[in-house]
Amino acid sequence: MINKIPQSIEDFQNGLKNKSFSAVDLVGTYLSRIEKYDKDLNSFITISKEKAYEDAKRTDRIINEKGQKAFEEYPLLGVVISYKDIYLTKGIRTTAASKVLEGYIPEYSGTVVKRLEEAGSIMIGKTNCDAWAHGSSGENSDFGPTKNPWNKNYIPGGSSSGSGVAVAADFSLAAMATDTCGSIRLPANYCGVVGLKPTYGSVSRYGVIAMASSLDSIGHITHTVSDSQKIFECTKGVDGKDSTLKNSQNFIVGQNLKIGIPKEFFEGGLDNEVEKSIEEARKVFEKLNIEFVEITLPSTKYAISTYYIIQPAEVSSNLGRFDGIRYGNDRNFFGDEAKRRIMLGTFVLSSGYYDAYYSKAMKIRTIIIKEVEKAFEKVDAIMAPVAPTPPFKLGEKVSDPLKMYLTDIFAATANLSGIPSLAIPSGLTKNKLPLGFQLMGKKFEEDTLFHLGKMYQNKTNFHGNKPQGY
Amino acid sequence: MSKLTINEVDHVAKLAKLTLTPEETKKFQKQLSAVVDYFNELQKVDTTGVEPTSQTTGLLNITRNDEIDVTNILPPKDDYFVVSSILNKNDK
Repeated sequence: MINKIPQSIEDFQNGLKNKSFSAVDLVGTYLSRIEKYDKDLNSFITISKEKAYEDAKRTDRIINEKGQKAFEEYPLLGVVISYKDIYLTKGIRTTAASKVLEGYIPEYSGTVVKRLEEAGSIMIGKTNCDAWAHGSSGENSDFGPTKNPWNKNYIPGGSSSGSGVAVAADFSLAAMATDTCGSIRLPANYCGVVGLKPTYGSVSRYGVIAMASSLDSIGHITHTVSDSQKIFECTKGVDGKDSTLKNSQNFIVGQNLKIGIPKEFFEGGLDNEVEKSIEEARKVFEKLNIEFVEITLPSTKYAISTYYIIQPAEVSSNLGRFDGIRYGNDRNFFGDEAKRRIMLGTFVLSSGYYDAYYSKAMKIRTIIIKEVEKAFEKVDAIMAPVAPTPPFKLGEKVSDPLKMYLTDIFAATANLSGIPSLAIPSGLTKNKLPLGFQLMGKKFEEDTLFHLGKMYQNKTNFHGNKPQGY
Repeated sequence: MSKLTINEVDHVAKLAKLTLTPEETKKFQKQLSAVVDYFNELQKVDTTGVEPTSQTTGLLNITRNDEIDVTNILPPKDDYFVVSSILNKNDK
Protein backbone atom coordinates (compact mmCIF):
# COMPACT_ATOMS: atom_id res chain seq x y z
CA MET A 1 0.00 0.00 0.00
CA ILE A 2 1.17 3.50 -0.83
CA ASN A 3 0.28 6.11 1.79
CA LYS A 4 0.56 9.23 -0.29
CA ILE A 5 -1.05 8.82 -3.70
CA PRO A 6 0.89 10.75 -6.36
CA GLN A 7 -1.22 13.60 -7.79
CA SER A 8 0.46 14.13 -11.15
CA ILE A 9 2.05 12.12 -13.95
CA GLU A 10 5.39 13.64 -12.95
CA ASP A 11 5.11 12.50 -9.29
CA PHE A 12 3.82 9.17 -10.45
CA GLN A 13 6.71 8.53 -12.80
CA ASN A 14 9.32 9.93 -10.41
CA GLY A 15 8.13 7.42 -7.83
CA LEU A 16 8.45 4.62 -10.36
CA LYS A 17 11.89 5.84 -11.49
CA ASN A 18 13.19 6.12 -7.92
CA LYS A 19 11.64 2.79 -7.02
CA SER A 20 9.66 4.42 -4.20
CA PHE A 21 6.91 2.10 -5.38
CA SER A 22 6.28 -0.29 -8.26
CA ALA A 23 3.44 -0.18 -10.77
CA VAL A 24 2.05 -3.30 -9.07
CA ASP A 25 2.04 -1.40 -5.73
CA LEU A 26 0.18 1.48 -7.38
CA VAL A 27 -2.46 -0.73 -8.97
CA GLY A 28 -2.88 -2.61 -5.67
CA THR A 29 -3.35 0.66 -3.80
CA TYR A 30 -5.94 1.98 -6.23
CA LEU A 31 -7.83 -1.33 -6.23
CA SER A 32 -7.98 -1.48 -2.45
CA ARG A 33 -9.17 2.13 -2.33
CA ILE A 34 -11.91 1.32 -4.86
CA GLU A 35 -12.92 -1.72 -2.82
CA LYS A 36 -13.01 0.30 0.39
CA TYR A 37 -14.72 3.49 -0.77
CA ASP A 38 -16.56 2.87 -4.02
CA LYS A 39 -19.44 0.89 -2.49
CA ASP A 40 -20.72 4.29 -1.37
CA LEU A 41 -19.64 6.43 -4.29
CA ASN A 42 -20.55 3.98 -7.10
CA SER A 43 -18.11 5.47 -9.58
CA PHE A 44 -17.19 2.18 -11.29
CA ILE A 45 -19.34 -0.26 -13.26
CA THR A 46 -16.58 -2.76 -14.06
CA ILE A 47 -13.12 -3.20 -12.52
CA SER A 48 -10.51 -4.71 -14.85
CA LYS A 49 -8.38 -6.11 -12.02
CA GLU A 50 -6.71 -8.93 -13.91
CA LYS A 51 -5.72 -6.77 -16.85
CA ALA A 52 -4.54 -3.98 -14.55
CA TYR A 53 -2.16 -6.32 -12.70
CA GLU A 54 -0.98 -7.78 -16.00
CA ASP A 55 -0.23 -4.30 -17.37
CA ALA A 56 1.42 -3.27 -14.09
CA LYS A 57 3.76 -6.26 -14.18
CA ARG A 58 4.61 -5.41 -17.77
CA THR A 59 5.32 -1.82 -16.72
CA ASP A 60 7.66 -2.91 -13.93
CA ARG A 61 9.45 -5.22 -16.35
CA ILE A 62 9.92 -2.42 -18.89
CA ILE A 63 11.30 -0.09 -16.19
CA ASN A 64 13.71 -2.76 -14.98
CA GLU A 65 14.91 -3.44 -18.50
CA LYS A 66 15.14 0.09 -19.87
CA GLY A 67 15.51 2.30 -16.81
CA GLN A 68 15.02 6.05 -17.42
CA LYS A 69 14.75 5.50 -21.17
CA ALA A 70 11.49 3.64 -20.72
CA PHE A 71 9.75 6.92 -19.87
CA GLU A 72 10.95 8.56 -23.09
CA GLU A 73 9.66 5.67 -25.12
CA TYR A 74 6.33 5.45 -23.26
CA PRO A 75 5.23 8.96 -22.21
CA LEU A 76 2.41 7.66 -20.01
CA LEU A 77 4.27 4.65 -18.64
CA GLY A 78 2.53 3.33 -15.51
CA VAL A 79 -0.18 6.00 -15.49
CA VAL A 80 -3.35 4.42 -14.13
CA ILE A 81 -6.42 5.45 -16.15
CA SER A 82 -10.12 4.68 -15.84
CA TYR A 83 -12.48 4.90 -18.82
CA LYS A 84 -16.03 6.13 -19.00
CA ASP A 85 -18.06 3.05 -19.83
CA ILE A 86 -18.84 4.21 -23.35
CA TYR A 87 -15.26 3.63 -24.54
CA LEU A 88 -15.12 0.23 -26.23
CA THR A 89 -12.49 -1.92 -24.54
CA LYS A 90 -11.61 -5.22 -26.15
CA GLY A 91 -12.65 -8.14 -23.96
CA ILE A 92 -13.90 -5.88 -21.15
CA ARG A 93 -17.62 -5.31 -20.70
CA THR A 94 -18.85 -1.96 -22.03
CA THR A 95 -22.39 -1.00 -21.04
CA ALA A 96 -22.86 2.74 -21.74
CA ALA A 97 -24.40 2.50 -18.23
CA SER A 98 -27.51 1.13 -19.93
CA LYS A 99 -29.30 -2.18 -19.29
CA VAL A 100 -29.53 -2.49 -23.08
CA LEU A 101 -25.80 -3.30 -23.18
CA GLU A 102 -25.65 -5.00 -19.79
CA GLY A 103 -23.65 -7.95 -21.08
CA TYR A 104 -21.91 -6.45 -24.12
CA ILE A 105 -18.22 -7.32 -24.57
CA PRO A 106 -16.54 -5.40 -27.43
CA GLU A 107 -14.50 -7.10 -30.12
CA TYR A 108 -12.05 -4.22 -30.35
CA SER A 109 -10.73 -1.17 -28.51
CA GLY A 110 -11.19 2.33 -29.91
CA THR A 111 -8.38 4.58 -31.14
CA VAL A 112 -7.97 6.50 -27.87
CA VAL A 113 -7.83 3.37 -25.71
CA LYS A 114 -5.24 1.91 -28.07
CA ARG A 115 -3.14 5.08 -28.16
CA LEU A 116 -3.12 5.41 -24.39
CA GLU A 117 -2.13 1.77 -23.98
CA GLU A 118 0.62 2.18 -26.55
CA ALA A 119 1.83 5.16 -24.51
CA GLY A 120 2.28 2.80 -21.56
CA SER A 121 -0.79 3.53 -19.42
CA ILE A 122 -2.68 0.98 -17.31
CA MET A 123 -6.48 0.54 -17.49
CA ILE A 124 -8.07 -0.03 -14.09
CA GLY A 125 -11.77 -0.08 -14.92
CA LYS A 126 -14.86 1.38 -16.54
CA THR A 127 -16.59 4.27 -14.87
CA ASN A 128 -20.25 4.92 -14.25
CA CYS A 129 -22.07 7.66 -16.17
CA ASP A 130 -25.54 8.75 -17.18
CA ALA A 131 -26.80 6.02 -19.51
CA TRP A 132 -25.68 6.75 -23.10
CA ALA A 133 -24.05 9.93 -21.68
CA HIS A 134 -27.52 11.52 -21.36
CA GLY A 135 -27.51 13.73 -18.30
CA SER A 136 -25.93 16.41 -16.18
CA SER A 137 -25.95 14.73 -12.77
CA GLY A 138 -25.02 11.06 -13.13
CA GLU A 139 -28.47 10.07 -11.90
CA ASN A 140 -29.60 8.63 -15.24
CA SER A 141 -27.30 5.61 -14.94
CA ASP A 142 -29.11 2.27 -15.05
CA PHE A 143 -26.46 1.11 -12.57
CA GLY A 144 -27.44 3.61 -9.88
CA PRO A 145 -26.30 7.21 -9.31
CA THR A 146 -22.71 8.17 -8.51
CA LYS A 147 -22.22 10.27 -5.36
CA ASN A 148 -20.03 13.31 -4.93
CA PRO A 149 -17.04 12.50 -2.67
CA TRP A 150 -17.15 16.06 -1.30
CA ASN A 151 -20.60 15.37 0.10
CA LYS A 152 -22.48 12.18 -0.63
CA ASN A 153 -25.85 13.94 -0.59
CA TYR A 154 -24.81 15.85 -3.70
CA ILE A 155 -24.50 14.88 -7.35
CA PRO A 156 -20.98 14.74 -8.86
CA GLY A 157 -22.07 16.22 -12.20
CA GLY A 158 -22.60 14.30 -15.41
CA SER A 159 -22.66 12.68 -17.66
CA SER A 160 -19.07 11.50 -16.95
CA SER A 161 -19.92 11.24 -13.24
CA GLY A 162 -17.74 8.24 -12.43
CA SER A 163 -14.74 9.71 -14.27
CA GLY A 164 -14.90 12.90 -12.19
CA VAL A 165 -15.23 10.96 -8.96
CA ALA A 166 -12.52 8.41 -9.85
CA VAL A 167 -9.96 11.23 -10.15
CA ALA A 168 -11.22 13.28 -7.17
CA ALA A 169 -11.30 10.26 -4.85
CA ASP A 170 -7.94 8.85 -6.09
CA PHE A 171 -9.28 5.70 -7.73
CA SER A 172 -7.15 6.42 -10.80
CA LEU A 173 -4.73 9.22 -11.70
CA ALA A 174 -6.71 10.25 -14.77
CA ALA A 175 -10.03 9.32 -16.33
CA MET A 176 -11.19 9.37 -19.93
CA ALA A 177 -14.59 10.89 -20.59
CA THR A 178 -16.76 12.46 -23.30
CA ASP A 179 -18.33 15.91 -23.58
CA THR A 180 -21.37 16.46 -25.81
CA CYS A 181 -22.59 19.42 -23.77
CA GLY A 182 -20.51 19.77 -20.62
CA SER A 183 -20.26 16.08 -19.73
CA ILE A 184 -16.53 16.41 -18.96
CA ARG A 185 -16.49 19.98 -17.67
CA LEU A 186 -19.47 19.59 -15.32
CA PRO A 187 -18.20 16.59 -13.32
CA ALA A 188 -14.69 18.09 -13.28
CA ASN A 189 -16.16 21.34 -11.97
CA TYR A 190 -18.38 19.62 -9.38
CA CYS A 191 -15.60 17.29 -8.16
CA GLY A 192 -12.80 19.88 -7.98
CA VAL A 193 -10.61 18.51 -10.78
CA VAL A 194 -9.50 19.57 -14.28
CA GLY A 195 -11.55 18.64 -17.36
CA LEU A 196 -10.66 19.11 -21.02
CA LYS A 197 -13.22 19.19 -23.82
CA PRO A 198 -10.96 19.30 -26.90
CA THR A 199 -11.75 20.88 -30.27
CA TYR A 200 -14.31 18.85 -32.24
CA GLY A 201 -12.17 17.01 -34.78
CA SER A 202 -8.98 16.78 -32.74
CA VAL A 203 -9.48 13.42 -30.96
CA SER A 204 -10.90 10.31 -32.61
CA ARG A 205 -14.40 9.13 -31.75
CA TYR A 206 -13.66 5.70 -33.25
CA GLY A 207 -14.67 3.05 -30.73
CA VAL A 208 -16.62 5.39 -28.50
CA ILE A 209 -20.39 4.79 -28.41
CA ALA A 210 -21.95 7.70 -30.30
CA MET A 211 -24.36 10.06 -28.62
CA ALA A 212 -24.75 13.15 -30.85
CA SER A 213 -22.27 12.86 -33.68
CA SER A 214 -21.82 16.54 -34.56
CA LEU A 215 -21.13 17.44 -30.92
CA ASP A 216 -19.34 14.50 -29.20
CA SER A 217 -15.82 15.40 -27.98
CA ILE A 218 -13.37 12.91 -26.57
CA GLY A 219 -11.45 14.28 -23.59
CA HIS A 220 -10.32 13.58 -20.08
CA ILE A 221 -10.22 14.49 -16.41
CA THR A 222 -7.02 14.99 -14.38
CA HIS A 223 -5.77 16.79 -11.25
CA THR A 224 -3.58 19.25 -13.13
CA VAL A 225 -3.61 21.17 -16.40
CA SER A 226 -0.12 19.88 -17.10
CA ASP A 227 -1.37 16.26 -17.01
CA SER A 228 -4.32 17.21 -19.19
CA GLN A 229 -1.88 18.44 -21.83
CA LYS A 230 0.28 15.30 -21.60
CA ILE A 231 -2.70 13.04 -22.20
CA PHE A 232 -4.03 15.22 -25.03
CA GLU A 233 -0.66 14.97 -26.79
CA CYS A 234 -1.17 11.17 -26.86
CA THR A 235 -4.83 11.05 -27.86
CA LYS A 236 -5.09 13.71 -30.58
CA GLY A 237 -4.60 13.41 -34.32
CA VAL A 238 -5.81 11.69 -37.47
CA ASP A 239 -6.35 7.92 -37.23
CA GLY A 240 -7.82 7.09 -40.65
CA LYS A 241 -11.02 5.92 -38.97
CA ASP A 242 -12.86 9.05 -37.84
CA SER A 243 -13.28 11.26 -40.92
CA THR A 244 -13.84 14.45 -38.89
CA LEU A 245 -10.22 14.56 -37.68
CA LYS A 246 -7.58 17.13 -38.53
CA ASN A 247 -3.99 17.21 -37.33
CA SER A 248 -3.04 20.40 -35.55
CA GLN A 249 0.36 21.92 -35.02
CA ASN A 250 1.66 22.80 -31.58
CA PHE A 251 2.50 26.44 -31.38
CA ILE A 252 4.28 28.86 -29.09
CA VAL A 253 1.70 30.82 -27.16
CA GLY A 254 2.22 34.54 -27.70
CA GLN A 255 2.74 37.34 -25.19
CA ASN A 256 0.07 39.83 -24.07
CA LEU A 257 -2.77 37.38 -23.91
CA LYS A 258 -6.30 38.70 -23.66
CA ILE A 259 -9.23 36.96 -22.00
CA GLY A 260 -12.80 37.89 -22.90
CA ILE A 261 -15.61 37.97 -20.37
CA PRO A 262 -18.96 37.37 -22.11
CA LYS A 263 -21.35 39.59 -20.23
CA GLU A 264 -24.38 37.43 -21.09
CA PHE A 265 -22.97 34.56 -18.99
CA PHE A 266 -23.07 36.71 -15.88
CA GLU A 267 -26.57 38.14 -16.24
CA GLY A 268 -29.27 36.80 -13.95
CA GLY A 269 -29.44 33.37 -12.39
CA LEU A 270 -25.74 32.97 -11.70
CA ASP A 271 -25.03 31.81 -8.15
CA ASN A 272 -23.19 34.36 -5.99
CA GLU A 273 -20.43 32.02 -4.88
CA VAL A 274 -19.78 30.91 -8.49
CA GLU A 275 -19.58 34.53 -9.62
CA LYS A 276 -17.30 35.54 -6.76
CA SER A 277 -14.95 32.64 -7.39
CA ILE A 278 -14.61 33.62 -11.06
CA GLU A 279 -13.95 37.22 -10.00
CA GLU A 280 -11.11 35.95 -7.75
CA ALA A 281 -9.71 33.84 -10.60
CA ARG A 282 -9.77 36.91 -12.83
CA LYS A 283 -7.68 38.79 -10.27
CA VAL A 284 -5.09 35.98 -10.28
CA PHE A 285 -4.78 36.31 -14.05
CA GLU A 286 -4.66 40.10 -13.91
CA LYS A 287 -1.71 39.93 -11.52
CA LEU A 288 0.00 37.83 -14.19
CA ASN A 289 -0.54 40.66 -16.69
CA ILE A 290 -3.38 39.04 -18.54
CA GLU A 291 -5.72 41.68 -19.91
CA PHE A 292 -9.49 41.26 -19.59
CA VAL A 293 -11.97 42.58 -22.15
CA GLU A 294 -15.74 42.53 -22.01
CA ILE A 295 -17.19 40.72 -25.01
CA THR A 296 -20.71 39.97 -26.13
CA LEU A 297 -22.24 36.71 -27.31
CA PRO A 298 -25.88 37.80 -27.55
CA SER A 299 -27.28 34.60 -29.09
CA THR A 300 -25.77 32.26 -26.51
CA LYS A 301 -29.02 32.60 -24.59
CA TYR A 302 -30.53 30.43 -27.31
CA ALA A 303 -27.74 27.85 -27.10
CA ILE A 304 -29.56 25.47 -24.77
CA SER A 305 -32.75 25.33 -26.89
CA THR A 306 -30.63 24.93 -30.01
CA TYR A 307 -28.63 22.16 -28.38
CA TYR A 308 -31.67 20.30 -27.03
CA ILE A 309 -33.08 20.12 -30.58
CA ILE A 310 -29.93 19.13 -32.46
CA GLN A 311 -28.66 16.65 -29.88
CA PRO A 312 -31.85 14.54 -29.45
CA ALA A 313 -32.25 14.51 -33.24
CA GLU A 314 -28.80 12.93 -33.54
CA VAL A 315 -29.45 10.69 -30.51
CA SER A 316 -32.64 9.32 -32.04
CA SER A 317 -30.66 8.33 -35.09
CA ASN A 318 -27.64 6.89 -33.24
CA LEU A 319 -29.76 4.84 -30.84
CA GLY A 320 -31.77 3.45 -33.75
CA ARG A 321 -29.17 0.71 -34.12
CA PHE A 322 -30.03 -0.74 -30.71
CA ASP A 323 -32.80 -3.03 -31.83
CA GLY A 324 -32.07 -6.08 -29.69
CA ILE A 325 -30.78 -8.00 -32.69
CA ARG A 326 -27.27 -6.74 -33.28
CA TYR A 327 -26.31 -5.81 -29.73
CA GLY A 328 -27.68 -6.59 -26.31
CA ASN A 329 -31.27 -6.31 -25.14
CA ASP A 330 -34.28 -4.87 -26.95
CA ARG A 331 -35.60 -1.30 -26.82
CA ASN A 332 -37.77 -1.93 -23.77
CA PHE A 333 -34.54 -1.84 -21.78
CA PHE A 334 -33.96 1.87 -22.48
CA GLY A 335 -34.32 4.03 -19.37
CA ASP A 336 -36.59 7.06 -19.16
CA GLU A 337 -34.03 9.66 -20.26
CA ALA A 338 -33.01 7.71 -23.36
CA LYS A 339 -36.69 7.29 -24.24
CA ARG A 340 -37.31 11.01 -23.75
CA ARG A 341 -34.40 11.99 -25.99
CA ILE A 342 -35.25 9.45 -28.68
CA MET A 343 -38.83 10.76 -28.75
CA LEU A 344 -37.81 14.41 -28.64
CA GLY A 345 -35.40 13.82 -31.52
CA THR A 346 -37.95 11.87 -33.51
CA PHE A 347 -40.46 14.68 -32.90
CA VAL A 348 -38.23 17.56 -34.06
CA LEU A 349 -37.30 15.59 -37.18
CA SER A 350 -40.83 14.48 -37.96
CA SER A 351 -42.90 15.74 -40.86
CA GLY A 352 -44.56 19.05 -40.00
CA TYR A 353 -42.08 19.97 -37.26
CA TYR A 354 -38.72 19.71 -39.06
CA ASP A 355 -38.69 23.34 -40.25
CA ALA A 356 -39.97 24.85 -37.01
CA TYR A 357 -37.47 23.03 -34.81
CA TYR A 358 -34.58 21.14 -36.42
CA SER A 359 -33.95 23.38 -39.40
CA LYS A 360 -34.37 26.51 -37.24
CA ALA A 361 -31.90 25.17 -34.66
CA MET A 362 -29.28 24.41 -37.32
CA LYS A 363 -29.53 28.02 -38.53
CA ILE A 364 -29.25 29.47 -35.03
CA ARG A 365 -26.19 27.26 -34.55
CA THR A 366 -24.65 29.18 -37.46
CA ILE A 367 -25.44 32.50 -35.77
CA ILE A 368 -23.88 31.34 -32.48
CA ILE A 369 -20.73 30.17 -34.29
CA LYS A 370 -20.37 33.52 -36.09
CA GLU A 371 -20.63 35.40 -32.79
CA VAL A 372 -17.99 33.17 -31.22
CA GLU A 373 -15.66 33.67 -34.20
CA LYS A 374 -16.14 37.41 -33.99
CA ALA A 375 -15.34 37.41 -30.27
CA PHE A 376 -12.11 35.53 -30.91
CA GLU A 377 -10.92 38.29 -33.26
CA LYS A 378 -10.35 40.34 -30.11
CA VAL A 379 -9.37 37.77 -27.47
CA ASP A 380 -7.30 34.60 -27.07
CA ALA A 381 -9.63 32.89 -24.62
CA ILE A 382 -13.07 33.32 -23.11
CA MET A 383 -13.62 32.87 -19.38
CA ALA A 384 -17.03 31.75 -18.13
CA PRO A 385 -18.75 29.73 -15.43
CA VAL A 386 -19.14 25.99 -16.13
CA ALA A 387 -22.56 25.78 -14.49
CA PRO A 388 -24.96 28.33 -13.01
CA THR A 389 -24.74 26.84 -9.48
CA PRO A 390 -22.43 24.70 -7.32
CA PRO A 391 -23.28 20.95 -7.12
CA PHE A 392 -26.96 20.33 -6.32
CA LYS A 393 -28.57 17.62 -4.19
CA LEU A 394 -29.32 14.11 -5.43
CA GLY A 395 -32.94 13.95 -6.57
CA GLU A 396 -33.31 17.72 -6.81
CA LYS A 397 -33.91 17.86 -10.57
CA VAL A 398 -34.71 14.25 -11.58
CA SER A 399 -38.44 14.68 -12.03
CA ASP A 400 -38.08 17.89 -14.05
CA PRO A 401 -36.09 17.21 -17.25
CA LEU A 402 -36.25 20.85 -18.39
CA LYS A 403 -34.68 22.03 -15.13
CA MET A 404 -31.96 19.39 -15.51
CA TYR A 405 -31.29 20.47 -19.13
CA LEU A 406 -30.77 24.08 -18.02
CA THR A 407 -27.75 22.93 -15.96
CA ASP A 408 -25.93 22.76 -19.32
CA ILE A 409 -26.63 26.38 -20.23
CA PHE A 410 -22.98 27.57 -20.12
CA ALA A 411 -21.57 24.39 -21.62
CA ALA A 412 -23.52 24.41 -24.90
CA THR A 413 -21.60 27.22 -26.66
CA ALA A 414 -18.34 25.25 -26.89
CA ASN A 415 -20.03 22.13 -28.27
CA LEU A 416 -22.24 23.92 -30.78
CA SER A 417 -19.26 25.84 -32.15
CA GLY A 418 -16.72 23.01 -31.87
CA ILE A 419 -14.17 24.99 -29.82
CA PRO A 420 -12.07 23.59 -26.96
CA SER A 421 -12.77 24.35 -23.32
CA LEU A 422 -10.82 23.64 -20.15
CA ALA A 423 -12.54 23.48 -16.75
CA ILE A 424 -10.32 24.41 -13.81
CA PRO A 425 -11.09 24.27 -10.06
CA SER A 426 -11.06 27.65 -8.29
CA GLY A 427 -11.94 26.96 -4.66
CA LEU A 428 -14.76 25.78 -2.44
CA THR A 429 -18.15 27.11 -1.36
CA LYS A 430 -18.77 27.83 2.30
CA ASN A 431 -20.37 24.37 2.43
CA LYS A 432 -17.11 22.86 1.14
CA LEU A 433 -18.29 22.01 -2.36
CA PRO A 434 -16.05 22.60 -5.39
CA LEU A 435 -16.17 25.72 -7.56
CA GLY A 436 -14.51 26.36 -10.90
CA PHE A 437 -14.50 28.14 -14.23
CA GLN A 438 -13.96 27.32 -17.88
CA LEU A 439 -11.59 28.79 -20.43
CA MET A 440 -12.77 28.42 -24.01
CA GLY A 441 -10.30 28.79 -26.85
CA LYS A 442 -10.06 29.03 -30.61
CA LYS A 443 -10.36 25.80 -32.56
CA PHE A 444 -7.20 23.67 -32.34
CA GLU A 445 -5.62 26.16 -29.93
CA GLU A 446 -5.71 23.99 -26.82
CA ASP A 447 -2.11 25.09 -26.21
CA THR A 448 -3.33 28.59 -25.26
CA LEU A 449 -5.73 27.08 -22.71
CA PHE A 450 -2.99 24.84 -21.28
CA HIS A 451 -0.66 27.83 -21.05
CA LEU A 452 -3.22 29.93 -19.16
CA GLY A 453 -4.32 26.99 -17.01
CA LYS A 454 -0.76 26.21 -15.96
CA MET A 455 -0.14 29.87 -15.13
CA TYR A 456 -3.21 29.79 -12.89
CA GLN A 457 -2.32 26.51 -11.19
CA ASN A 458 1.26 27.71 -10.55
CA LYS A 459 -0.17 30.64 -8.59
CA THR A 460 -2.96 28.78 -6.78
CA ASN A 461 -3.41 25.43 -5.11
CA PHE A 462 -7.13 24.81 -5.50
CA HIS A 463 -6.32 21.64 -7.44
CA GLY A 464 -4.64 20.42 -4.23
CA ASN A 465 -7.95 20.51 -2.31
CA LYS A 466 -9.07 16.99 -1.46
CA PRO A 467 -12.42 15.64 -0.28
CA GLN A 468 -12.16 14.47 3.35
CA GLY A 469 -12.50 10.88 4.45
CA TYR A 470 -10.83 9.12 1.53
CA MET B 1 -48.00 26.89 -24.48
CA SER B 2 -47.45 24.38 -27.22
CA LYS B 3 -48.48 21.01 -26.01
CA LEU B 4 -47.99 17.54 -27.38
CA THR B 5 -51.23 15.56 -27.36
CA ILE B 6 -51.40 11.96 -26.13
CA ASN B 7 -51.88 10.94 -29.76
CA GLU B 8 -48.73 12.79 -30.82
CA VAL B 9 -46.67 11.12 -28.07
CA ASP B 10 -47.98 7.72 -29.15
CA HIS B 11 -47.26 8.52 -32.79
CA VAL B 12 -43.67 9.62 -32.04
CA ALA B 13 -43.12 6.52 -29.87
CA LYS B 14 -44.34 4.36 -32.74
CA LEU B 15 -41.98 6.08 -35.20
CA ALA B 16 -39.11 5.45 -32.76
CA LYS B 17 -40.11 1.84 -32.12
CA LEU B 18 -40.65 2.41 -28.41
CA THR B 19 -43.44 0.67 -26.55
CA LEU B 20 -44.91 2.87 -23.82
CA THR B 21 -47.34 2.03 -21.04
CA PRO B 22 -50.31 4.43 -20.66
CA GLU B 23 -48.64 5.85 -17.52
CA GLU B 24 -45.41 6.48 -19.42
CA THR B 25 -47.28 8.17 -22.25
CA LYS B 26 -48.89 10.52 -19.75
CA LYS B 27 -45.64 11.26 -17.95
CA PHE B 28 -43.70 11.88 -21.17
CA GLN B 29 -46.52 14.02 -22.59
CA LYS B 30 -46.12 16.43 -19.68
CA GLN B 31 -42.31 16.41 -19.65
CA LEU B 32 -41.81 16.68 -23.41
CA SER B 33 -44.45 19.43 -23.69
CA ALA B 34 -42.50 21.56 -21.20
CA VAL B 35 -39.29 21.12 -23.21
CA VAL B 36 -40.92 21.77 -26.60
CA ASP B 37 -42.61 24.84 -25.13
CA TYR B 38 -39.22 26.14 -24.03
CA PHE B 39 -37.96 25.75 -27.63
CA ASN B 40 -40.47 28.34 -28.78
CA GLU B 41 -38.07 31.10 -27.71
CA LEU B 42 -36.21 30.27 -30.93
CA GLN B 43 -39.06 31.60 -33.04
CA LYS B 44 -37.96 35.10 -31.96
CA VAL B 45 -34.63 34.75 -33.76
CA ASP B 46 -34.51 36.08 -37.32
CA THR B 47 -32.82 33.41 -39.43
CA THR B 48 -33.65 34.81 -42.88
CA GLY B 49 -30.82 34.01 -45.26
CA VAL B 50 -28.80 32.07 -42.64
CA GLU B 51 -27.25 28.81 -43.78
CA PRO B 52 -27.79 25.83 -41.47
CA THR B 53 -24.77 24.21 -39.74
CA SER B 54 -24.69 20.44 -39.59
CA GLN B 55 -20.99 20.06 -38.72
CA THR B 56 -18.18 22.33 -37.55
CA THR B 57 -15.04 20.92 -39.17
CA GLY B 58 -15.46 22.35 -42.67
CA LEU B 59 -14.02 19.10 -44.01
CA LEU B 60 -15.63 17.52 -47.07
CA ASN B 61 -15.33 14.13 -48.72
CA ILE B 62 -12.63 12.60 -46.55
CA THR B 63 -11.59 9.34 -48.13
CA ARG B 64 -8.86 6.80 -47.75
CA ASN B 65 -7.33 4.40 -50.23
CA ASP B 66 -8.98 1.03 -50.43
CA GLU B 67 -6.54 -1.56 -49.23
CA ILE B 68 -7.20 -5.24 -49.68
CA ASP B 69 -6.09 -7.39 -46.79
CA VAL B 70 -4.55 -10.27 -48.74
CA THR B 71 -3.66 -12.30 -45.68
CA ASN B 72 -7.11 -13.91 -45.55
CA ILE B 73 -7.68 -14.75 -49.21
CA LEU B 74 -6.62 -17.67 -51.33
CA PRO B 75 -4.25 -16.86 -54.22
CA PRO B 76 -6.05 -15.37 -57.28
CA LYS B 77 -6.70 -17.58 -60.26
CA ASP B 78 -7.14 -16.06 -63.77
CA ASP B 79 -7.97 -12.59 -62.31
CA TYR B 80 -10.60 -14.08 -60.02
CA PHE B 81 -10.52 -14.50 -56.28
CA VAL B 82 -11.17 -18.05 -55.27
CA VAL B 83 -13.16 -18.64 -52.11
CA SER B 84 -14.28 -21.83 -50.48
CA SER B 85 -17.73 -22.97 -51.55
CA ILE B 86 -20.53 -22.26 -49.13
CA LEU B 87 -23.18 -24.53 -50.68
CA ASN B 88 -22.86 -28.25 -51.19
CA LYS B 89 -23.84 -29.84 -54.49
CA ASN B 90 -26.31 -32.01 -52.63
CA ASP B 91 -28.07 -29.01 -51.05
CA LYS B 92 -31.51 -28.56 -52.50
